[in-house]
Order: sequence, then C-alpha cells, then structure tokens
Amino acid sequence: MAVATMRAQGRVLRLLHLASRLALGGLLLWAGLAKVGDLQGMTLSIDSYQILPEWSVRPLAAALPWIEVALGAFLVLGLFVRFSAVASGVLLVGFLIGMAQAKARGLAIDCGCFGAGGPGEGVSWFDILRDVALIGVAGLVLLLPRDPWGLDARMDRLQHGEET
Amino acid sequence: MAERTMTKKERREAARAARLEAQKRARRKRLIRSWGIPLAVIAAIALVAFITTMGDDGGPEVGEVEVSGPARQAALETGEPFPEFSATELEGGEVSWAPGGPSLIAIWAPWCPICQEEIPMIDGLAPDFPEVEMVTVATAVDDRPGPTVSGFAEDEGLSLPIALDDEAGTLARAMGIRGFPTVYLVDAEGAVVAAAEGQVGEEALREALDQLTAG
Repeated sequence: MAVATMRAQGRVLRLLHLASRLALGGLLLWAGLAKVGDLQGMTLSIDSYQILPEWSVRPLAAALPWIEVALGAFLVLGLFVRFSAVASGVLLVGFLIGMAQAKARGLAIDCGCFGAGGPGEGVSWFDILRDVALIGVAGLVLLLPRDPWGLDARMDRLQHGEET
Repeated sequence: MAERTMTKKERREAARAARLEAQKRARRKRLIRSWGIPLAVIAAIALVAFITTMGDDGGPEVGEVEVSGPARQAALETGEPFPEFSATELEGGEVSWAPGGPSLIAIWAPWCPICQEEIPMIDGLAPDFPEVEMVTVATAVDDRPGPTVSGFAEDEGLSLPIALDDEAGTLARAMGIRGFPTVYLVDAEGAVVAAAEGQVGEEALREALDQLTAG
C-alpha cells in the first residue's frame, strides 16, 4: 500500500515537473520569438531601464531574444533541463532586478517582456509578480524529480541500454 | 598459497579501480553533455550577437555643416526666418536648404521612438505634396544607443534627403531644438509658419501642409 502511494506521489511530481518545464519553456519561447528580429525595439527597451552601460545595450538586445528562444526550446524538448532551469532562473532574476529598480525610480517605461518596450506607463506589479512566479517555476523544474518524457531522459535510457 | 590470495585481491582492486575510473569518465561525460553543451550554445549566441552588433555602429554618422544662424536656446517662433543650411547627405554629397518654396524641415534622432514613427510617416506624405520641399536633419546620433541613421533609413525605405548634423549638433542648436522630433513648416519667403515638437500625427500634419500650400 505504502509503495503504491509512493509511486502515485512520484507520478504526480513527475507530471508537475513536465507541466512546469512546458509552461516555463513555452513562455520563454513566446517571449523570445516576439522579440527576435526587432533589434531597434529591443535596444530601446533595454536602454529604457537605464541600468546597463551603453556599450552593452546593443549586443544584449541582439542576444537576449535568441537566448530566450534557445532556453525555451531546451525546456519544451526536455533537453539540458537542469542547465536551462538554472539559466532561466538567472535570467528571470536579472529581469526582476531591472523591473524592481524601474518601479522604484518611477520610470515611465513598458516592461518589454513579450515584445519591444520603451516608453510606457511604467512597470506594473503584475509584471513583477509574474516574474517572481516564473522564478518559482524554474525552481520547480530544477528541484522536482525529472519527468521521463523529455529528451534528457530518453538519451539517458539509450545510454544506459548501450552500457548494459 | 599466500601469493595466489594476493593476486586475487590485486585483481579485485584493479577491477574496482577500473569500475571507479569508468564511473568517473561517465560522470564527466554526463557533466559535459548536460552543462557544457548548452553553455557553449548560449556562449555562441552571445558571441555572434556581440560580433554582429559591434560592426553595426559603423562609426559616428556625422557630417560637415554650415548654417546661417547662431545657436539658440528656444525653438524658432512663427514669423522668424529659418536659417539657411547645408550639410553632408546620408548617401554622400551635400544637401542644402534656402528659401524658395514652401518647406518642411524635420529634425530627428534615430534612437528616438517617436521619430521612428513620425519620420517614415512624413516620408510617406512627400509624394502627396510635391510642391513642398522636404528635408530631414538627423542629429544627436550617438547620444543614446539605437539604430544607425543609415540602418534606420534602409529598414524604413526612406526617400527624403537626410542631412547629417555634425558632432556638436550645430544645425540642431541653430534650429533651437529642445526635443525630438521637431518639425518646422516654412513659407516661400523662408519664415517659420508652424513648429511642432514631439508627436504630430498624420492627420494634423496633412492639414498643416494643406494650409501651407494653400497660402
């Protein structure tokens, strides 16, 4: 009976892991794809936060959407999941710092989370809370037992098969 | 007998060491696969972005300018003569303006979000007002990060002549620019008819141009 309960719990946790990585990966993919190709908009968006040195703004504007797309794709496919969870968490903490300081300084900017930002009505509490929630989801992806439906698990099974 | 026991023990230890070594190798392989490969992918993306945007700046896009009026603190007012000017044109060569017909002069910066909407809109209006001489002046290019003048002009397919201000912003200062974009409408005698700073909007500008050409 206890074994059956533990198995059921394990299954629930794995399903939760799957849901978390798909949700986080899907959101990152969406956010990245919405910004890819809009270098001007991204440059304005990052610059409007007024925290990064000028020389870093354009390279970051070019790289960030692709990094989001790559991490999103990794998570959706279940590939390099632990790395992607950590990297997404770092990225989201960076966004949180940017948004919190913009809110504290009262900057009239758009968060630019899912598209080009720039001038706007200011970062909202919803933007900040959503970011905090996503950091939590990244934590779940990192800490929960890995679901067996991702490419990581399949590769491990293949490798294990080869070894035995 | 003692020799045979030692040999067995040694064999067991050798097998154990080999097993540990194989485990270590497998762990290292897993570490490289799980962390090294994705880290390399992210680093490659960052490197490509850095390299591509490094060449994007293309150096300062500034020109040599001449202008007939002095630097001023405030925008030109209605009735004041608009300063004659000449400057390097974006495509090379020179662009100059002097009174001669109704004119629209728009002063903008490529990083300014409102300019990014207004300048293509003004460019699109030009064919509807062929009797109005339209010139845009790009200035303060390197004040903030943003697209280059040429990159923006190419992306938006701008066709109006673009005069490049110098690094000191001599044209902008002579035109009393306080914000971007600033649009001046000038009559055939060279007097300012209207000035607008910031968002104008297509409807309002059309109306103003109709009035300018009717007068």
